[in-house]
Amino acid sequence: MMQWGLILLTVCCSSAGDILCARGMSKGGELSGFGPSGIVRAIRYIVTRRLVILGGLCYATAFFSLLTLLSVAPLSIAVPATALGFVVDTIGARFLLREHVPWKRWAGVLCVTAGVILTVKSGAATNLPGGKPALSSPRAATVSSVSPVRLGHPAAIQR
Amino acid sequence: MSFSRPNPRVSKTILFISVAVIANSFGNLMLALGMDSMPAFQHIPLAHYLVGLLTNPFLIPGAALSAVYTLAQISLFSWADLSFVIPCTASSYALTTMLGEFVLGEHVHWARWLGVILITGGVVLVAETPVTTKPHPGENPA
Repeated sequence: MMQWGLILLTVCCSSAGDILCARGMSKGGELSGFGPSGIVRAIRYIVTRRLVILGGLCYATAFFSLLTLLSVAPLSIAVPATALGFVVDTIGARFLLREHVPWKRWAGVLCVTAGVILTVKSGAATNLPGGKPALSSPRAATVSSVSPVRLGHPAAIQR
Repeated sequence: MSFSRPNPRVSKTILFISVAVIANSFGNLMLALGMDSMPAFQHIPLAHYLVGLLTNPFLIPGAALSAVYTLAQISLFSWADLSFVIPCTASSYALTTMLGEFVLGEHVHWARWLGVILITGGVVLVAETPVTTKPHPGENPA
């Protein structure tokens, strides 16, 4: 039961972070000029947007929630489940950010979600005998099975 | 035969998505290589562990690449749709699988290659839609 609560918390916080950052960034106009001074200007712009900071806090919550999740659930369940965030993001983009989502984009998102689940699940399941990978075990996770988790957490990469 | 000039916003989006995907994949690869050479956290004092983290040749560049990825993705949000950016940057799953196979020599199961094909197909479908579907401040949708 706890693992499903943590999956829900991870997915919701991660998607809330994406939606808040997207909302915060789209309100201020398009960033342009990416030379050295442009990068400094972009960083200053990003760290002064309230919604982006709030989004960053959501990412942090999702990060720690995922780490907790990885301590109670097998990798083969925890990481693929977070791929549901792609669908939640798209629903949020449609109804909260009022984006027009063409059918090709919906189809693409569903393909990507299925692909990510297949990529991570098959990777995690083949690493240990019995298909019960756990991060606490040596060689539990291959780089290609855990490292591109959307939150980009280095702790999950330790093998 | 004439070629139409590419939309600057589309070119910029392709560039930023490529930077985000490459930085994320290589950043994670370097972090994985760095963490692989670290001793188990519970076996050494915290100070030694922190020194090990800071002097590891892979971890600082890996963290820097992760920062580049974050900056590129957040910048993309200023002109592109969230529902466009998120699935496109998922290409990093496909690239990381390839890095795992060809750089780290991990055995990649056929089901994972099927996943890579699905991700690639999904990204191609999303890439066929407009970068943005709503007007941004002072501009019309691309």
